Amino acid sequence: MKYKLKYSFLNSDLQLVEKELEAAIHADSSVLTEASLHLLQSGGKRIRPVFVLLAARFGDYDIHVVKHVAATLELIHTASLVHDDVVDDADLRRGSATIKSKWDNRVAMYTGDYIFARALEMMSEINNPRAHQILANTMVELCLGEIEQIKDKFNFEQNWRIYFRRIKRKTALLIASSCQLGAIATGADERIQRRLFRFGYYVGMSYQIMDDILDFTASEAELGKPAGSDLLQGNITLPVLIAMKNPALKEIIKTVHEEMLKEDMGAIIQAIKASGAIEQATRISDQYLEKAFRELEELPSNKARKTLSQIAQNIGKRKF
Amino acid sequence: MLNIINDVKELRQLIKTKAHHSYLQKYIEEPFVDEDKLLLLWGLFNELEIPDNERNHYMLSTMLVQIALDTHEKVSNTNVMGSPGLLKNRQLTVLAGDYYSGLYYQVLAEVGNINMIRALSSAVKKINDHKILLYQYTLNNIPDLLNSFRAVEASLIYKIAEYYQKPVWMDGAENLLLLKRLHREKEQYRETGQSLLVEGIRLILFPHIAMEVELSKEQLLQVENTMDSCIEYAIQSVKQSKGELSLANVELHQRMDDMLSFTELKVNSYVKEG
Repeated sequence: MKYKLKYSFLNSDLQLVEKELEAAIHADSSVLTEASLHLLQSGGKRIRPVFVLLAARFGDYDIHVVKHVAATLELIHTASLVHDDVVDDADLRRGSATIKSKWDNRVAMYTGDYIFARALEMMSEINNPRAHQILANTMVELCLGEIEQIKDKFNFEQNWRIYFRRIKRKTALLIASSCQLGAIATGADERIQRRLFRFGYYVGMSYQIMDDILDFTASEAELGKPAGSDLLQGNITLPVLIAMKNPALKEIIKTVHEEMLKEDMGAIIQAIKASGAIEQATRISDQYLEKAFRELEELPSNKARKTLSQIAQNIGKRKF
Repeated sequence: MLNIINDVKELRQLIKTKAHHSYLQKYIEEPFVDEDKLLLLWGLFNELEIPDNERNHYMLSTMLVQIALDTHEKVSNTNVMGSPGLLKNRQLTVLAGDYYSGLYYQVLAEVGNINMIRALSSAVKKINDHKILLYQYTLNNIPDLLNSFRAVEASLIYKIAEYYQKPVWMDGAENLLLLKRLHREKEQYRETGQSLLVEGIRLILFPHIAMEVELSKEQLLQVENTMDSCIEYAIQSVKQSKGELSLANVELHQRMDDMLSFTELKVNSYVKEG
C-alpha cells in the first residue's frame, strides 16, 4: 500500500496499535471474536490511527497513551462499518463477505455494539473529559450524517449546503477528531490542536468529494461495485449537484430510480461526465486540500507534518 | 428523600426528550423506556449521596444505553429488499440505536465521569457477548444459560451498583430482571412456540436431537418443567433479594411486591391451565 511507505517510521507504533485492536476484541463468545477479527483483519488502511499518531507527535509523545486513542478511533470506524453493511444490505466489503452476510443481521448488530463498547472502554484510559466530549459529539454527528443520508435519498431539490453538511458529519469530522484527539492526548498546544482539527476536517472533506467523484470515474473492478452506484441508490453527491445546474440535465437525472436499467443509467453517467461536473467537483476537492496544506504550514516543521502533507497529497491523487 | 412518582415521571420525560428525533420518529417506533429498570436505578441512586443533577445524568445515560440496545434488538434477519418501507425502517432502526448510543456517551462526557463511561461500556460489552452466546445456542448447562439471561438483562445496573459498591443492588437487579425476562420468555413461548429460553433448554437436555426434529411429548414436558424450575428458582432469588434491599421508599417497595405477585400469579395460571 502506498501509504505505508510514507509513514514507515510509525510502523512499530502501528504494530502496538494493532496488538491493542486484537486484544480488544477477545470475547467469551467465539463467534463474536471471529466476527470482529474478520473485519479488523480484512485490510483496512488504518488511516485514522495514522492521523492520531502523527498529530500526537506535536505534543509530548507517549505511544503507551496515544495507542488507546488510535485504537479507539479504528474500533469506532470498524463498528460503524459493521452496522453500515446491515443498512446497505451489503454482502461484500474489501472483497470479503460482510459479517451480516457470513452470519446474519443479528450477529452483525451485536458485533457492532460490542466493538463500539470496547472502543469506549479503551478510550476511558484517557483521563481527559474534553477528549471524551469531542469524541462523543463526533459520534453523534456521524449518526446524524447517516440518518440525513437516508432522509435525503432521491431528494433532487437538496442544496449544496445539505451535501456539505452531510459529508462533514459522515466523513470529515471523524478524521478531524482523530487529528485533534491525537494532539490532545499528548498535551499539544491548544492552537496546534485546533489547526490539526481543521487540517483533518479539510482533508476529510476533500477525501469524501474525491470518493463521490470516483463513483463516476473509476471502473467497476476498481470500485468493487458498478459505477454510478451512489446515484442509483439515491445518494445525491457533488458531481450530481453540479450537473443539475443544467436544467435539461436535471430533468434527466431526476428520472433515476433504484430499478433503472444498466444501459439507461450508463447514459446518465456519461451525461454527467460530459457536463464538466467532474472537473468542477475535483477543483472543489482540491480547494479543500489547499486549505489543509495552509493549516499544515502554520504547524511546527517536523517529520509528522511532512508525512501529513504527503498523505493529503495522496488523497488528492488517488484514482480509486 | 426523593419522591419516586414525580422523579420517575420527570426522568421518563427527560429520556424521551433527549432521545427525540423528529425524522426517526416518523418512520420507527418511539423508544421504549423500561420502567422497571428505571425504578431499580432510582432505588439505587436514592441510596447514594449524589447531587440531583448528576444523578439524573447517570440515570438518563443508563436508560439511553438500554434504549440503544433494545432498538437494535428490533433489527431482524428477514429479507426486506423487495419492500422499500420495511427496508427504510430497518436502516433507520440500525442508525437510531447507534444514535442513542452516541447520546449516552455524550451525556456522560458532559458530566466528565470517565469511570462511569468505563463501567457502562464494560456492561454493554458483556451484554452483547452474552446475547451472542444465547443467540448461537452455545451454552451447555442451565446455570450458564441463566447466567447469560442475567447478564443481558442486568449488567447495566449491576455495573453501576458495583461502581458504587452496593452489592445488595447488584444481586437485587440481577434477580428481579432475570425473573422478568424468564417470564417474558415463557409468555413468548406460549404465544409463538418459540423462545430463546426454551430452545436453549432443549439443546442442553437433548443436544443430539436436531432443532428441526419434533420432540416427543415426554421430552417436551421435560423441557417445560425445566423452564418452570428456572422460573421458580428466580422467584426464590427475588424474595431473598427483597428482604436484603433497604427500600426507603414505600412506592418502590410496593412496586417490587406487585412485580413479584404478578409473576407468581402468571406462573400459577400457567400451571392451572396445564
